Amino acid sequence: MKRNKNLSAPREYTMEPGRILEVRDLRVDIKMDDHTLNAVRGVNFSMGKGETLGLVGESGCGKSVTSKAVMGINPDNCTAFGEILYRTKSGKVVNLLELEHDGAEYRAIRGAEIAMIFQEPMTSFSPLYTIGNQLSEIVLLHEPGATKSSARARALEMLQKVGIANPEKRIDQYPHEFSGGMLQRALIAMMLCCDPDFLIADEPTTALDVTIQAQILELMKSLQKEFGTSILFITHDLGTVASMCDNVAVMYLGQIVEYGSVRQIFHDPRHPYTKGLLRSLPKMDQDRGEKLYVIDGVVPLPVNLPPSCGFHDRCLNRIDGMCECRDIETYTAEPGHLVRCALMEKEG
Amino acid sequence: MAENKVILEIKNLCKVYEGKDVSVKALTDVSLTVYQGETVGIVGESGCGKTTLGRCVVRGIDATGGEVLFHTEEDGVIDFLHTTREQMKKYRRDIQMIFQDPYASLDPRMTVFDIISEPLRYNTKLGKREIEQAVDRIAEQVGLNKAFLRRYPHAFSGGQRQRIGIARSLILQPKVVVCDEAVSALDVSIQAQIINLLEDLQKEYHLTYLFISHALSVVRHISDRVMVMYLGRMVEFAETEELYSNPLHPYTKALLSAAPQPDPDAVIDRIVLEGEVPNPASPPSGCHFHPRCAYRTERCAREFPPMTERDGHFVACWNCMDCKLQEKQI
Repeated sequence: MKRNKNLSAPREYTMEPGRILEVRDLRVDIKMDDHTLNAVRGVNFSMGKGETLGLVGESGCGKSVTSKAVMGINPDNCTAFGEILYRTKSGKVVNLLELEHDGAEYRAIRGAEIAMIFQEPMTSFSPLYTIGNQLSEIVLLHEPGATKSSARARALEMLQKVGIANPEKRIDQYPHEFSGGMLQRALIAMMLCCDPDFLIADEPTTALDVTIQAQILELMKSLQKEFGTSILFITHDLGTVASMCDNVAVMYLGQIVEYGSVRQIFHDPRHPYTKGLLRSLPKMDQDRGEKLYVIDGVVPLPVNLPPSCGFHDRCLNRIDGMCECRDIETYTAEPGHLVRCALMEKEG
Repeated sequence: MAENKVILEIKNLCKVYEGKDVSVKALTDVSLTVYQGETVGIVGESGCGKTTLGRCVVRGIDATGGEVLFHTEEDGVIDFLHTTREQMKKYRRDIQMIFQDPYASLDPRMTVFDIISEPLRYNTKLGKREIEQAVDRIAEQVGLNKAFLRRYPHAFSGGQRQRIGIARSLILQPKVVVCDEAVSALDVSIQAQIINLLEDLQKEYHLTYLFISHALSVVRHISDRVMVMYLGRMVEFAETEELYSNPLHPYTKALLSAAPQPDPDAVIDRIVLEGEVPNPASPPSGCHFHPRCAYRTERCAREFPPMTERDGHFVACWNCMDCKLQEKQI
């Protein structure tokens, strides 16, 4: 990923104590053959230590691109602007966007301090090496003084911790000998190997069956309690968000349209998009005869968007002369509950 | 169930996939009676045989044993499994399928018009004009803009592609439609659009759906009756309200409790099952679910429980049978 080029002397950054991550006005452009996608269009959020933040939205809303920008693993045709501040284990605050993405400093953070688990556990492992081999690898990479045998011992311990039965035998098996749920456990074990402070989980249970999903979510919760990890939880499944997260950021077309505690978002949604999303879900306790609520229209492509609310053409509550002709500010509905919607201004 | 006219009967359906050195029993003894105009939901996790069931019903694959009886008006009852491929042609138009992945199920080298009209060209002797009219009509019904019919699938979004797949399945005016994970690949807001569309079309054409899905809340919304499958066998079958409010089989209970609710304060007594779905190539003895079941007894490991029924609620579980006996005594 290319970075913001105009770098002068390294700046000193500060963050409120207790925070581990702060994203300020993040923009990511993706250069395509004949146009540029503005995949992320000014995203702001911060996370406290031990907090789980859910980043939700539909395909193409920029949630994965945002998380990959934190990890520094967006492909070369992406350019990021803004600031991503991160507090390292040593207490120093760094702007991740200023680091060379394959430089020593970033590599010391990536994997060891910020770990990521992906949607498809089946494609996240190399088929050519044993599970044990791949788990010890990151210990050997990140821990000075680690030996092959100590790394293996760590890998074994972590496999045990994530509930893999018979780890002594499993550690020498190859990924194809594991089922999907087992591989996701192994992936979680892998990221735990270096005791990261910050975990990015990109749709970690989407590819799994319901009963296995329940197991993995329980596992993540209990591990979070034990290690105090902060989790950025990316998903389109509002059900998982409700059971996993402390706070939720709803993304639409590269912007956060609503941010609040999980209760604020689910019980008192303010943005028409959030409301629509929640209403369009078939619910277990709803009358079956009722029609599902539908948000009309489709998400536009984020190319050369004029200053406007990205949701205006699908919104039933739009204010003509306002929503389609200027950028919408973010308003505070109540403490900790932010809404990017012109209706908030009208209401005062 | 608007009227109790049987349209499809599945009796003791079995399917074995023969491999080089293993054979997988994908379906064992599945029986089901489907009435005209209703939606039967089929739920279960990967490898439970729900897709195999759908494919056997449309005879995309040949079942190993059992019967699929299709009730027609003109020819009486037809056994799909014992008709020749040639004879089958006549009935193919009555029973169609909607697939999961709207990206993989449309030929990228055909225009949308060709994709939607293809079934007509193979199964009817309609002229060019009539075909065009039929395509226009169905396109309008599923919400596709007629102006875009000469384009190729890549120009359409996931939701629109699924509409194309639906148009293609419905253009022959089938009686039964097998929807295999028809909305699973779609985003929430698009999913709602497609579910509503399927419901509207059902009302209009009096369609019968077999709705295969792993999404329990979607199945609850759309189905009249629901069948739960585990490792190739049906474990429970009941009317939707009954199944969701009074699940009897321990697997159904676990499945329902594991489904995440979009409410942070939902009080869920989550039953987290131990272990994973066993390999269907070597299923456990007796009741396939017993290694993960909290209520297992020694008998469960020995014999597979027969399907028992009370008031239209079917369940295959030794313990549930016992509970019922107790209830009856009281």
